[in-house]
Amino acid sequence: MGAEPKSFRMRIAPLLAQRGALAGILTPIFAFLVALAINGILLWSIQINPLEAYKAIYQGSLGNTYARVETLVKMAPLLLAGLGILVAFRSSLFNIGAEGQLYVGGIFAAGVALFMGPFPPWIHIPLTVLAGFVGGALWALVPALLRARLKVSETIVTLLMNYIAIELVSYLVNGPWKDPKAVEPYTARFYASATLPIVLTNTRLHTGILIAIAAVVGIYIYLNHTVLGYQLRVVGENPKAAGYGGINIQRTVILSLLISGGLAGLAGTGEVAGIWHRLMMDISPGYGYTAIVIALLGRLDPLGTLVSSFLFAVLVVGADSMQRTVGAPAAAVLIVQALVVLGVLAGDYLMRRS
Amino acid sequence: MNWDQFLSYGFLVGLFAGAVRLSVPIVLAAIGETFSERAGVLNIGIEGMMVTGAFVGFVGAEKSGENLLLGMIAAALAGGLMGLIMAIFSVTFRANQTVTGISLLVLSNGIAIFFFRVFYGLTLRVPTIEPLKPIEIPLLAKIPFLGPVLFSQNAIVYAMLIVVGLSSVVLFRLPFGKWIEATGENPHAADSVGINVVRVRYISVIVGGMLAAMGGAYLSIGELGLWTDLIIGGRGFIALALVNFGGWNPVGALAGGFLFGLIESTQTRLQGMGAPVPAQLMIAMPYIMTIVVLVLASRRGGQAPAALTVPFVRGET
Repeated sequence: MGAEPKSFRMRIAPLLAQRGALAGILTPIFAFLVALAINGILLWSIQINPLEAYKAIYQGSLGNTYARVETLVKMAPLLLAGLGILVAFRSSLFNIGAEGQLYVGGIFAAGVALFMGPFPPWIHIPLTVLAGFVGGALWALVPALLRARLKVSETIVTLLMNYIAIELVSYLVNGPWKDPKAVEPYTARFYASATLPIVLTNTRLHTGILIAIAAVVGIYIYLNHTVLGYQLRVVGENPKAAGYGGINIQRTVILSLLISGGLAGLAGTGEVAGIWHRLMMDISPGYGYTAIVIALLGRLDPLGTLVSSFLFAVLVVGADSMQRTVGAPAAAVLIVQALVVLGVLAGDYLMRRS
Repeated sequence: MNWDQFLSYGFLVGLFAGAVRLSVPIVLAAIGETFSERAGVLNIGIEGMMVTGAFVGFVGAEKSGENLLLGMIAAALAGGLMGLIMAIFSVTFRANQTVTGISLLVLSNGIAIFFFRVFYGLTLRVPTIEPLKPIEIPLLAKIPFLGPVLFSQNAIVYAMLIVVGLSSVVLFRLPFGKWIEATGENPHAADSVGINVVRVRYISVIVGGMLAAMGGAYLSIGELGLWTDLIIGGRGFIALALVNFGGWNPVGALAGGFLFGLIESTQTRLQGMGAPVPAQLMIAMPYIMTIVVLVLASRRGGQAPAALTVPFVRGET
C-alpha cells in the first residue's frame, strides 16, 4: 500500500462516537462546557462579567420570537454545510472548502434565479435549488478529481479554492452581473418566482431550514441504509479493506466530495435565494469554517450535527448581541469554536487512556 | 496601458525587489513547515501561526514604542507556543493532525481579532507603526540590478537568507537533521537506535511555529506597519503547498517562495498600471498557481516523509 494517499492513513475512526459508548456523547458536551468556562475566564480578564455575557448570548438568540427566528435562519446554512463536511470526513476526505462551495452554490443559484424565467415557482424554485447544489458540487469536483487521479491533497486544494470562489463572486457582482441601477456591488433582485418561500410570515425564516432538516434525514439514510453510503464509510474507516473488498475507491472519493460540495452549495443557495434575493459579497461570515467545528462536535453523525448546528447558531447569533450589550468582542465565538474541537480531541485521548 | 513600461530598467528593479520582499513570509513559513513535516507532523495550522505572529509582532512593536526587534521576538515566542499546542495534540494526544491544525487556525484568528479589539477598540484610525527601512550593503548595493534587488533590502530579508542557509545545515549536515529525518521516515527504527522520537517531533513543530510566526510578523511590522484580520490571506496554505513543491528542502522553499513573491509583485504592479485584466483574477492568481504547483509536484512523484501524519506509539506499527 506504499502508493496509498497520505491522508487515507489519517484514520477517521477516532473522530466518531464509539457505538454504545456513552463517552462518545459525553466528551463533546464536556468539551463544550470547558470551552465556555475558559472563554469566561478570558472575558473576565478583560473586565467583562462572563455570566452577563452568556446571558446576553441567550437573550440575543433565544430570548424572544425575533431572536429565535434569527437563530433558525443562521442554523440553516450551518447545518447544510456541516452535513457536507460530515460526508467528506466520513470518507477520510478533509474538505475544508465548504466556504468556497457555499459561494459557488450561491453563484449558480443566482444564475438561474436572475437570468432564467420567469417560470411558475414550482419549477423555478426547485431549479434554483438544484443549480445551487450543482454549483457547490462542481467546485468540489476539482479537488475530487485531483485527489482521485493525482493524489493531490484535497485539504490544501479545497482551502485554496475558498479564496478563488470569493474573488469569483466579487468579479461577478462588481462586473458583468452588477445591478446597473445600484451603486453597491450586488446583482439585481432575483425573479420573485425563484425566491424561497417564507415559513413564518413577517420574518426572514425561509424554507432553507426545512431543506436542511430534510438533508439530515437524507444523509442519515444514505450513510446507514444504502450500499453507496456503506462503501463511503468503509473507504473512510478502512481503505485497505475497501480495496480488497472490491470497492471502487476513486469513484467513492469523487462521489463523496460531490455530495459534500453540493450540500455546502445548498447553504449558499439559502442565503441568496432565501434571505437577500440577490447575489452579493459577504453572504457568509465563515459558515463554511464553522461547519467543520459543527460536524466534529456532532461526531460526524447527522443527528449530532443537527444538535451542534443549533448550538452554534445560538452562539453566532448571540455573539452579536453580546458585543452590542456588554461590549465583549464577537470574536470570542471563534475562540470557543477552537476550544471545543481541541477539548473533544483531548477528551478522546483521556478516554482512550483510561 | 503602455507595455513599454514593462521593459524599463526601473520597473524591473521594482518588480524583482518587491518579489524578494514579498517572498519572505512564505519562505519562512515554508521552512518552518519543512521542519515539522520532515519530522512527520503535517501542520495545517501554519496559517494560524502566521496570523498569531503578525498580530503579536505588531502589538509587541506598537506597545514598546516601535521596537521592531522586540515585536519580532514576541512573535517568535507566540508562534513557538502555538507550535507547542500543535505538538501536544498531534504527538502526545495523537490527535488527527488536519483537525488539530484547523482548530489552531480558528483559535489564532479568534485570539487575534478578540485582543485587537480589546487593545485598540473600534477606531476608525487604524493604528500603524513605521515598518523596517532598507539597509544598503556597502559595495554590493552598487552592482547594477542585483544591488537594488538583493542588497538594499530590510534586515529581515537578509535574516531570511541566513535562515535558509542555517536550516539547510541543520537538516542536512548536523546529527539533529538526521534524527529529524529518521523520525519522519521510520520512527520505530529511530526509536530502536535511541532517538527520542517524541522530543524530536516536539522541537521540530515548535521551531516550525516560530519560523511561521516570524514570517507573519514580517508582514505586519516589516512590510505594512499595520495589522488587519486578513493580513495573512492564505499565505500559510501557499507555504504548505510549496514544501511539497520544494521537495522538503529549504532551498526549494526559497525558490518556490520567490516565484510567489514574483506573482504577487507582478499583480500589485499590474493593478497599479490599470492592466486590462479583472483585479479579482489577479488577486486569485497566487491561489490558482498554488494548485498548479501542487499538480506539478504530484506528477514529479512524492518524496514525502514516509511517516508524515502517522502518530508514533512505541511497539505499534
